[in-house]
Amino acid sequence: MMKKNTVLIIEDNEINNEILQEILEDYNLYIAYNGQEGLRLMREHQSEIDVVLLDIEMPVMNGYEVLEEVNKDDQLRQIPIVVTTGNESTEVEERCLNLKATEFIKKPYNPTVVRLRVENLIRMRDFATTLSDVEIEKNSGAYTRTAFYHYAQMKIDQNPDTPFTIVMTDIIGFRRLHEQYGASAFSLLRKQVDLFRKISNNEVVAGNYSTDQMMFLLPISSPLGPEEKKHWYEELGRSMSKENGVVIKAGISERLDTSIGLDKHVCNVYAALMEVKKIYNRYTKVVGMDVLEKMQTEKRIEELMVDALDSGQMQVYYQPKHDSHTNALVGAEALIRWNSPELGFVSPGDFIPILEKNGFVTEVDSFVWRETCKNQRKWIDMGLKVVPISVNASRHDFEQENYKQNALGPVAEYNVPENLMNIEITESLFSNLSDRAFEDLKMFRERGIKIELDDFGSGYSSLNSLSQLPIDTVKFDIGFVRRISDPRSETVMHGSADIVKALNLKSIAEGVEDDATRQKVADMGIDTIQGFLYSKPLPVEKFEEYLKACASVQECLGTF
Amino acid sequence: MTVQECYEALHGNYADAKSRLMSDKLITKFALKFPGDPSMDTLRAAVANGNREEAFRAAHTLKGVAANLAFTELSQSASVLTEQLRSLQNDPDPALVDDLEQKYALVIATLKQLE
Repeated sequence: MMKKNTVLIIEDNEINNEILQEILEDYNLYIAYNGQEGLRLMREHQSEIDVVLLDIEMPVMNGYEVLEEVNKDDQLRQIPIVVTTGNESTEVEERCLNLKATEFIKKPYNPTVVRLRVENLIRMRDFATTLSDVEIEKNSGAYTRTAFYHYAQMKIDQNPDTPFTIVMTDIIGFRRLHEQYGASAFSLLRKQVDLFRKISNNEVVAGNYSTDQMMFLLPISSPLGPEEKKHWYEELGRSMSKENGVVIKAGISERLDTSIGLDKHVCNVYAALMEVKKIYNRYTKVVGMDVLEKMQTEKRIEELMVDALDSGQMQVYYQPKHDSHTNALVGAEALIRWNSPELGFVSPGDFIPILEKNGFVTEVDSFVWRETCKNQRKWIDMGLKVVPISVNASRHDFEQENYKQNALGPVAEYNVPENLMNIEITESLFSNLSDRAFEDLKMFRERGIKIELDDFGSGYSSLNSLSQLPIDTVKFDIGFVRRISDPRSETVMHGSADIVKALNLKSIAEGVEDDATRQKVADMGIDTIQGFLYSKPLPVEKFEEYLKACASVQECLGTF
Repeated sequence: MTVQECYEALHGNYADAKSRLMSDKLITKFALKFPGDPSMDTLRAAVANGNREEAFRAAHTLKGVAANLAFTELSQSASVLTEQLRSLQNDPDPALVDDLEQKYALVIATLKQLE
């Protein structure tokens, strides 16, 4: 048998009430003769009641008051309410609709109309329940994380001129509270939702980030002053005060730049929350301007990068490498430089990490590789004494199916001897490197393309792995040279250089700026030096001149 | 007296009652509850005490019950009084209360013959 639906009738007049009972005899009925009784029945049987029929003019507690009470309660608010009215002015209807009444039925009651209204509402409610199961977290009554992003974005789009604030809260020690109090601990979540509804005049979009972490998008016309923050935090504390020792912390991001994706703002707020969680006696942290500016720059870079590469704003520079003992030019490293009409000179340290994050770095790497092949061909054709040039490759490059073909293609196309092209990789690349990528590296080496391990000693390196990796050269991180005046650092560098040599690997030191350092490095047995002592990175034409100059003199030191 | 004759005598709308309440049996059942309805007494007391809010609510209820029972003339009279009272700015107009009393008396008297 099908489950009978349940209707609550709140009507003070006995005859009217009984007529409704007669009309709705096929339903389970709860009957109330005044507003207070009706509200009590709603609270007691909220999960059971499908529709409420509510009279407006009643003694003790009238229909408006019932609607107001219902609006204060997240659960009751879900039940559709039909207001029974006479044929009065539209003011009454407006007032009821403002109080979120769902429908009206006019007296005298037409049984067919009453039944159809009730049936329709039950159908809509069933549909809404199905939807809300997906979109609403049962424990908090707020949106699920996915639904939050959807509705928050909608709110932002609908109010383009409104400044928004995001708050993320975390209940400290929630697990313990949950163990102690069971499901009633979740009331802490609902209380937060209620509080933010109150302070935002019901404009907040609330969602769960995780079980006990909540997100709130608030339209706030001005940045929260310290007083306001203190105020709502105290409110939050007060509303929790019954539960002893509950501490709630919050990350806040104000005046959101809405051109930046909501997910990024949420990341920032989350980071701020994690920071404040570490500090015992602090409760809120606002995302700083520096973070926002960095995020905006990041976004600008992402917007501009494709065009920058296509339109020639990104250019390849070459920094010479010299023999530490003879000073002879023995190689160069290819480096990307970006001179943006809009952002000015963008440091590779700023944009390469962003490109590595979004994968665009493969485009840049392959551009540098191809340009370098082309230049090598040109210089060979000019009869210059060319040297091997190293090009950086990232993890993304090796993850490409056809990386081998992409790399060997331009080499063959420009007919460049393979031993004139080297690849620089960082050690971090080797964690989780696929077998295929490993085979690719071995293949490159067999063809004479040397593999250099970049940034050795900068954090990921282990001496042990040196013996395992398919590499030819170890490039000491710039930090070694910077700290070389410290005897302990010098000892570590020296020892590492000995091991590298013992493993039959070549070595390079970066960042050498003066001859005294060159001497120290050379004494350690490090073969090659890259640094301002010889030259900064040079644009193509300058490097071409450099090649010519070095061909004619044995010692290039100080030439450029 | 048939239900239909009764409705004609009390200036109601039998067709309306029949269409909504479906059967003479049900019409009779509800109509005969009307003399026991407290709305008119509540209204009288409110008028006597000068309680405008209570008077409005009672007139409003009377209007609704009468409409549901298709006591058309009574419902209309109650409706006029309801609107006169709605703003709560005025005391009940004695002429309107009188009119309502007359219509009410007719309905009650007529219903006695239906019993």
